[in-house]
Amino acid sequence: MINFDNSASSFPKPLRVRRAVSEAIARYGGNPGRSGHTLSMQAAEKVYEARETAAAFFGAETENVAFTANATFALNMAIKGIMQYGGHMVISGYEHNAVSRPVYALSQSRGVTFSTAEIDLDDDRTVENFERLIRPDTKCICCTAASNVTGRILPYRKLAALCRERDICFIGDCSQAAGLLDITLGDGFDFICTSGQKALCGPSGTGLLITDGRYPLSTIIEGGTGTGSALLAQPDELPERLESGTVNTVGIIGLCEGIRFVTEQTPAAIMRHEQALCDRLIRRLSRSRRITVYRTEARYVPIVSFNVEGISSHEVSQRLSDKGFALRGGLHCAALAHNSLGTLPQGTVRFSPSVFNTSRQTDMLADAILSLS
Amino acid sequence: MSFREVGAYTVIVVMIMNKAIARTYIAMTSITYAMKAKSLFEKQGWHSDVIRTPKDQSSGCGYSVAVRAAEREAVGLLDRHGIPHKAAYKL
Repeated sequence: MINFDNSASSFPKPLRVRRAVSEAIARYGGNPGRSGHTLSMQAAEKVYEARETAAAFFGAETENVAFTANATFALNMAIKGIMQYGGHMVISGYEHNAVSRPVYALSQSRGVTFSTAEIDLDDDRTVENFERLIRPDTKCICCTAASNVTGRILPYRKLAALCRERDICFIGDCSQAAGLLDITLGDGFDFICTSGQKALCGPSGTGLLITDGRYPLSTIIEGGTGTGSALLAQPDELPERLESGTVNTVGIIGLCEGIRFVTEQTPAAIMRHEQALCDRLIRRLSRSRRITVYRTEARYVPIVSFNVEGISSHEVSQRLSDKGFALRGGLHCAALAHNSLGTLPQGTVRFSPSVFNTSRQTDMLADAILSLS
Repeated sequence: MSFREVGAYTVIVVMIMNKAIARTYIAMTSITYAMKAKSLFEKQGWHSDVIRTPKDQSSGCGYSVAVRAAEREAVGLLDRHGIPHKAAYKL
């Protein structure tokens, strides 16, 4: 099976990640940050090493890097942590359910109001669309750095500047951008939320919530942190405030190696390789009038969404699976984005290569898709 | 005296000096800050360890960093780098 569904979970993982996970299972079984015995301390040192590695990658202070179970957890913690006492927020029309559902839930339970900014072909107009929606009670803008449906890169630096100018919080869903674009807090994010298992090449069940520390978060989960145990109140200090319960030591150690792999390869080189595969596929698919590719002149991360006329996206992905190719069809947990794209209810088929895919594999896939059209 | 002998003597002198410097214990507010403090001290060339804070020094569970450096210097370094900590203590 050739995996072209890497924007869901990258696979295969780099050898060093597989080795690190295997070593973690064998050697680092202590509970980090809970005891003083050697097993616990060894695990804690490995978790700290991973925290330092992620902090350097995203330009953060080490203590401002919190490990989460995935990007959805990170986004819920950031959005609800900022908005749980009400107010208004602005999201984009390209959001994943990891953003739109918690925002909707807050609107039902906490009286939060929200507006959805339309994404224009022109980045400056997109920023103007956001700006028009800002109200006196707007507390934050939350948007994806790159769409998980089309790969379209949003003008996140300009949106960050807008947030600074208006003194509101900026939360970035960087799940599809981290590891491909040079995403750092220096871009102006107050919170970077990302999964670990996509372009960062970490294991499933890993995610990151990274902050510049400007906006203290209310917690949505409280519990054991290994410190201040005599107190009923959740500790204020990061990252423990946001990491109640035992962390995923094995996943975190694997994620650390994934980030090191990406750092060595460089996001720019990985992006170039994958973008070349996308361009190759688009060129081949453009030979068929029955295939629609959802691309414009804007900037994209390496994702290509397409449809084959007369066949549902689920059917296309199933037929491709039968031929040995893994691609995701449907709505990609992003009905809002498909609504903006005009691809409801059928969704699209999504091609997302990894650093390990080749031109030959891409050509084989193109042949398989063209044989369906 | 050969270079090798000079090197050997230097190592011995440094080891004796290290032994002579008493360890300073600083209670930290979290395991992460304890690790960060250890990393900072190691960059200074000061050997340090993260240890569990003894019960009589702590109101609950917590971690300390034990560093082979004078209390004033160690605490001063943490303060200059904005690393929060609790009191220093002796064992």
